[in-house]
Formats: sequence, structure tokens, C-alpha cells
Amino acid sequence: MLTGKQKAELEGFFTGEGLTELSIQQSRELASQIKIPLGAVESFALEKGIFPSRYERNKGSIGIEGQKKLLKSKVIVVGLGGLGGYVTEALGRLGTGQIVGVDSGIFDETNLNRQIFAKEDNLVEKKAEEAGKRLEEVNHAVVFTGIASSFDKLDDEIWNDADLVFDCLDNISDRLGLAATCSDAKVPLIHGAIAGWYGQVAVIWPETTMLEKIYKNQKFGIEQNIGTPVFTAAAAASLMTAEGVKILTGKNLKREQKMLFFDLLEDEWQTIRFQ
Amino acid sequence: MVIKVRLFATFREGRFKKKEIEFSEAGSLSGLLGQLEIPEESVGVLLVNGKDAGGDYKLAANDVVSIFPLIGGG
Repeated sequence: MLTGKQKAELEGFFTGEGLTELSIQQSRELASQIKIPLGAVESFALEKGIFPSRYERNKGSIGIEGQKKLLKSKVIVVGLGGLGGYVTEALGRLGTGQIVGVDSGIFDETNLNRQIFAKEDNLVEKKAEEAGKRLEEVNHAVVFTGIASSFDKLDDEIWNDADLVFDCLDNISDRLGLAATCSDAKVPLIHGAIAGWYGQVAVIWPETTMLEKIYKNQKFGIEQNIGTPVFTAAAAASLMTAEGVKILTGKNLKREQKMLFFDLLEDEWQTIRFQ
Repeated sequence: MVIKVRLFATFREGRFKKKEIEFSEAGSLSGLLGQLEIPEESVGVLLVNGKDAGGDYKLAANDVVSIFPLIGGG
């Protein structure tokens, strides 16, 4: 929250300089001068109808109102591997104000084929830390908090505060646990799962039971035998991000229970509706 | 009775995409999976006439059954 004095300084700068756009350089100078976070400068600009340059290309789709909402959003990404990596990168570039990334794991060679934060020289580093480093490079105005533990160790407060959660996990029992946590906290969950050429994406609204209908007491699906190539991870993650952005910016008010299942080998896309 | 079966993703391998199957009267979904040699624990989404259904569902003639494999990777 900005103080009256800080707002006045910002106001003075924007009006005095007659600013009609805002570069990263200007944002940094203002943030440093007035001693406020970079994100606060960019939010202020949006309130004045000015799109920070870094978000300029979001204008025609997300729009100014959507961008304001995104900058104020708090989301949790559970899993920072194939799905979670791309989701986090995308949310960062989009300007999602606060992102909590949760993953207890470290990178290994087998991640290199599809996990965007995995590099040849960061294997054995913690995924939660590497995600943070990457987001610092990509969008310093977004506040990323990396938590290198399993999601069931998080305080209730973190879930209750969140506007949205992304299920980027890699096993079924954890996914069901996460769905229960989100339902209790009454926060929508964007579900995504991938294997080989195939993927599925769905919005799990609080107090609904879609995942319990398709996942029972198994631990893994076909991914255990066939793995996953990068394009499946990126496709599912992009669909998940788009669904998430629609919810955060108020473009999805329908609360439908449906899943998109895609098959990249046969170019088939199925919408499955649940009761 | 005739049941219309639609298979998806890896379930098509060695089987088919769409087929009309002869199935015993008042058989269950579990029974159909057995006939198709699809282990029930490998099934994810399972629909009859577009609605999610369980293994104990009693099939009727001309039901359309859609069977997707279990996918849980991330």
C-alpha cells in the first residue's frame, strides 16, 4: 500500500513529465527515488491509463483492466517441472503480481528435454530457487517466492490468500491432496496433466469433484512408461495459463465443469463435460 | 447388444479408434473393459453417452462408451 506522500510523488512525476508511456528504465528510477516496489510504479501507471512498455503487447487481449487485475493477483504454482516451469515463465511475463512457486525437487538430466528452467549447468540445483532466478531476469516487477518443500507443508494462510492455484504436479495422489486443499480454501484450481503426445486441462472449481472421478487410487498414469516431450508440456501449460488469466481478469464467470483433452499426434481436441 | 466404443490416445494402439462391439445384455462397463483387455486401473476419463460413469454402470444397447487412458504427468 502506498502512502499519501508516495502517491503524490508518483502523481507529480507522471503529470509533471507528461508521461504517456513507461519504460523499465523509468520504472526503476521512480521505484528507487520514491522507495517503492517496481510493481507499485507499474500499477500506478495503469491506473493513469498508461501501459508499461513491458506489457504493451498484452493490450489487445488482456486490456488495461485485465492488466491491473493481473498485477494485483496472488497465485500458487505447485510443481515447477514440465508444466510448472512454463506456467511460471508465462505468468511472470504476463505480469502476475505475486507468484508462489512450490517444488521440493532438484533438476536432473532427464528434465532437460522439457523443463524450461532446467539447464546443463544447474542440474542438482533446487527448482524453487532456479525458478526465482529466471523470473528475476524476465520480470523484476513480479514478486516470486520460491518454496523448496512439498505443498502440504504450506500454511493455511497461503492458500486462503491465493486467487488461483495451478496443479503442475507429477503424481496422482498429490494431485488429489492438492484438490482437497484448494476446495477447503475455496480457491479455484487449474489442473493440467501430460503424457507423450497427450494432455488434459480443466478448471476445478471449489467443492466440485472432477479429479476424484478420474483419479482413484493409482499413483501414475501412462507417463510412467512413455515420458513426455517438450511440446506437450508447453501446450498444456499455455492452455492452463490462458484459463488462469481468464479467471483472474474476470473473463471466465461460467463455472463450467469441463476438461479439454488433446492428442497432438492425431490433432484431436475433445471437450469433456462433467456433471 | 451393440455398444459403440471410442478409444483415445494409447488405447488405440493394437485396437481401434471407433468400433461397434457386440456385448452381452445387461453387461457392466467393467465387463466391457475386460472384453477389450483394458486394465481398469489404466483408465482415466470414462464416459457413457458423454457423461462420466463408473465401472459398475449397466450398459444399454447403442450406448456410446468413450475410454481415455490415465494421464498424470507434469
